[in-house]
Amino acid sequence: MRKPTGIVYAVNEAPPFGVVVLSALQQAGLMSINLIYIILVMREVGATPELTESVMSISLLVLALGAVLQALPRGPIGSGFLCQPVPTAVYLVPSLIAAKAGGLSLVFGMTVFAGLVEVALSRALRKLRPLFPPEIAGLVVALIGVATGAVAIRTFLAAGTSTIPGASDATVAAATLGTMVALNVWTRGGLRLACVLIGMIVGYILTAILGGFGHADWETVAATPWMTFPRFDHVGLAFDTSLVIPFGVAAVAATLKVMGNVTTCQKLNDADWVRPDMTSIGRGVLADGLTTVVAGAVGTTGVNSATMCVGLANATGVASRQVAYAVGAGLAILAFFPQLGAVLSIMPRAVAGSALLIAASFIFVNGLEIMTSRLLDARRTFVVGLSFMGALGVEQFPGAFARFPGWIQPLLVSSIVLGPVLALLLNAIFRLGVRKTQKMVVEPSRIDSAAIEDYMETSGAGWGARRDIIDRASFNLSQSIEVIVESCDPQGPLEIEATFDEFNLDLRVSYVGPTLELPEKRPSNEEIMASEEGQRKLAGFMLRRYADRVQATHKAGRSTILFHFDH
Amino acid sequence: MRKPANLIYGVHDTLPLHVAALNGAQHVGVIAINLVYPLLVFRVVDAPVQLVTNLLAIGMLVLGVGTFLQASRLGPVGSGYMCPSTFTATYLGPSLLAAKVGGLPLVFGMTIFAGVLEAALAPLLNRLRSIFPSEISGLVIFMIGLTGGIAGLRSLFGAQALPVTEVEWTVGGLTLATMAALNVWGKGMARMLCALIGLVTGYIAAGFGGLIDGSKIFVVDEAPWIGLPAFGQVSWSFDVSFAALFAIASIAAAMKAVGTITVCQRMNDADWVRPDMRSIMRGVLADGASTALAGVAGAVGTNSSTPSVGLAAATGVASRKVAFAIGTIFLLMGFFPKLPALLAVMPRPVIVAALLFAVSFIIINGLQVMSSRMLDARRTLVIGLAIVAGVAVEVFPIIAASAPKAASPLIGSSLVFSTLIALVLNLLFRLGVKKTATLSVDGTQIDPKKIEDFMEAQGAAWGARRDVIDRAKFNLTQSIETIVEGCEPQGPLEVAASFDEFNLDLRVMYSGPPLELPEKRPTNEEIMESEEGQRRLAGFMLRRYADRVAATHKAGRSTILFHFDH
Repeated sequence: MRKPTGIVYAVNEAPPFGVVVLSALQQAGLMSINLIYIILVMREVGATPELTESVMSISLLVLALGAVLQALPRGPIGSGFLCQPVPTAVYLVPSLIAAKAGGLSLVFGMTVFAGLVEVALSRALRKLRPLFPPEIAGLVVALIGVATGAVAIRTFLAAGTSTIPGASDATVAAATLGTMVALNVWTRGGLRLACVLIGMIVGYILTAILGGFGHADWETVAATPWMTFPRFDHVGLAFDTSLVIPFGVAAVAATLKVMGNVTTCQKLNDADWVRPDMTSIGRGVLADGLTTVVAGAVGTTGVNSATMCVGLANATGVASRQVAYAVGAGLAILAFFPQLGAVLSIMPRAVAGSALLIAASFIFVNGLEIMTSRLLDARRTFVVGLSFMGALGVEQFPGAFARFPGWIQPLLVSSIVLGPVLALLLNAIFRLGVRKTQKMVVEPSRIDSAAIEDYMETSGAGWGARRDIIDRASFNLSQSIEVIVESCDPQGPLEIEATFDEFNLDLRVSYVGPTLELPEKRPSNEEIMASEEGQRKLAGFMLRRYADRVQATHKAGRSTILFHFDH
Repeated sequence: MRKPANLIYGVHDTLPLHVAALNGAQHVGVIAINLVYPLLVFRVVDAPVQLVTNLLAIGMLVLGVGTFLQASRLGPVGSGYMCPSTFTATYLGPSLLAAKVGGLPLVFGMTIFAGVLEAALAPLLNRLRSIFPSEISGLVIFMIGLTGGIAGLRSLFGAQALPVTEVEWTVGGLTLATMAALNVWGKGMARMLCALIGLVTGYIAAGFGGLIDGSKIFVVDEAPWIGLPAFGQVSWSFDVSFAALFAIASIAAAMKAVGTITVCQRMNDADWVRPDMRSIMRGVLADGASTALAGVAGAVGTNSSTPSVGLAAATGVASRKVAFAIGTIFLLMGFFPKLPALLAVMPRPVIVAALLFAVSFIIINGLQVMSSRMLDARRTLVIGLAIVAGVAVEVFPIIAASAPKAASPLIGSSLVFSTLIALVLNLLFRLGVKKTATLSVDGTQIDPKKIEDFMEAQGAAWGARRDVIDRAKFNLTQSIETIVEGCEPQGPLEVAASFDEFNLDLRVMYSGPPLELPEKRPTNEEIMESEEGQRRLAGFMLRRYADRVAATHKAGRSTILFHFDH
């Protein structure tokens, strides 16, 4: 694992204490944007301020647990990355329905159910690997980026309410965003690491100066007690089969999001990243599901891994696991001192929107790079292109799918659900007819290197292989064929067979003729001069250089040379 | 220019006549989707059916000439690519307003103005190259694909659209499935004509489903089979208050032409590295000329057709000959008014299916062009913020509606807005990026990681190509080792890396004897005999590490230049 240059502290590194604290504060500030979802559910059931306060403090404890669980580097739980959970929009709509239908105990019961679904899914993920190639992983990440961007704009516009942002909101947004971007682009060290935190503080101060905080905001903060202990007497668990589908689909969406986020974490910590590591993804989904189970059991709403926090880690270059522990500690402290949380809860929408925008940019570009890390043929183009358009269709024309039957509706409510589901489906269909093994015949009398390149290129795009590996294999194949033709006098055409799975690319060149010895050492000049045998040894020695592993076999007059490339 | 593996007929390839003709028909079918734009404009002025048929016929002639112009390489006009003309949503908004205020003469007059302006923009494009790096080209292509797809979806789902019925879902799904299935699993003609077969299937299914719109049929019924287009009914007028509106549309059209021609270049060249500004300038000039011609003859503004280029990528047929076939078919259709009328009533699910099919390729092209360069935090923010901005104005029309009136045309088009954001941010973030960066390396303990990080960070800041930086990185560490071993430098080595879009130059400076860079490997005896021989071996090895190597010596200090083509 080689650290990319944009990252200052990678996941396994220990930054200085001050950096850890600042980064954790910054992460917590960003996470607090999503606390609104809890407030919305509480409002739905008409909860008293005391109850809301208590649930809020329970939530913070759950989030603290989740941040630590997710970062655990060993054991069966936790991806090991800084990829902490937050209350999520994914569970908002189902929770609101449940709150209306059966009150808080139904919300909690169904949340436990959703968490269990996610836990169950985490077990099955390894088997789904062929259905989840990098371009779909990238698509999921990119869509999460776009959706986060849309949330940022929606937050700023306060869509759904009658208030339209005025000049002062625009000023605050410009100052906040400008500060964050400028610090990120033109500074180094502490200023860059804390660019989002500093931007948020600037936003708060400016809002206060421009009178953006209303009387109600100050009152909220003032009315909150200094210290509190969470009470659990509101906790009850109920279950309703009619809510199984909405919560089940939400759990699938949550799983997809964790997969996307952990993939981003893997890539941003590793300059040599090649493919999603399903082990750490599975452990990450397990941690996410367990946290949601706990959330329901102790009386709060479902949580999900926070894309914006991964984006923040990328933007600031601080992705150390230590920060996750610090976030956990910080949230646990906040849980008992609600006034701090109250200050965060009145975050001006311009400030929240700006922070989300920065995170969205980094997430989107990560998705873009993951998608294009592979060769894309027409099939893969359709998989990515059509799913992307479908997802945007849902985002832009939410009413368009109203006439679809009820059971399918949950799939159509969110771009980050529909996009991946479409992609998985199309990928499963278009996989039909892709052969794992591609064959080609080369006449030794006229070697057409363009034809060999085309063959490798077409095969590679069909498999979705990495461009650099296919380029190497294609170069090496034409070189090797020339060497074989020159030194082994093959009778009749050479047969080439290329076999691919995600980890191996094997090229087999077989011909009628003498076999090749593949010596480790270059034969001496005398040997080469003296005999044909020596020349053939030279050829065999040269072939070694062309692949990660080379092997020659001979059977009934037919020689086969295997070139293996690690993928 | 190496032809990519998935391209069957590249731009210069000739193909059998019947393949060209059928492919031409296929493109005409896809381009016909946009015939709805002139019809919408004519509807505003309540043009009588006879006038509409005549103007539609004139439109066919304009598209034919435009397609020929773009594919030709006559004088300074024409990109030379198969990149046909189409009517465009870009000019729809301004044209509708102009039609309301001043009738068709104002539409035609302003269209001439827009075309002339676009043509005038073309020569300026070359100067803009430095503020238009590859990742922004990719962004423009991506946004063109996105807006194309959204425009299709809007015709089905948009605010004024009727709710989508089950029959429409079925017809749309069937059309798209036919196109995709033939493209993925078909071979030969089936693959090359997948869109045409899909369109025909869609039409037939729509006919059975009763989707061929009864209220529009009369246009088809009343259109004569054969007729000569009459140019006598056309007149022109000009209104300054519309200049800004049409100017912005014209800029959007120019951007779209730039993006579309970039896709053409990339599609035809497996070794594509960067947009070729010469052919883009010629293409934008042809695009502008075609719009000006449209205004003169009596049609609404035209633009290069993105779906057609996507279709060419999908089918692997991008030959210039196809463009000539398309142009010929359009010219012929000008004399058979019933045909354009029939195409103009294309059912909306068929339209959506064809657009989604074609723009998939454009979107992927955009993604690939964006990620062909290394992206550091600045470039990430440029792309990320620009795309979010573009998506935001698409998803939240309230943003454009509540913006000041002067700015609303800029913000109203997500393509223009997002490109504008990217250009401004890119200009801003260029501040502080040095063209030359230096690194000091201690010869006694070479840290290859540090050298690699240096190249990596600089490459991302410059937006260089990953493969060139990878090569330079490897070569720099190897060369430094060779120099340290062969030349015994005194004190640290200084590395200076400088970059512009076409060159990456690494200079390694040290105090010590210069290196000869012999073409031939010194013989083993020479190497054994003297230090000079060993140094020559080192010099010979250095040659392999770059596209060009040069060594100079001055006042005890040697400089070795490694040049990489970019």
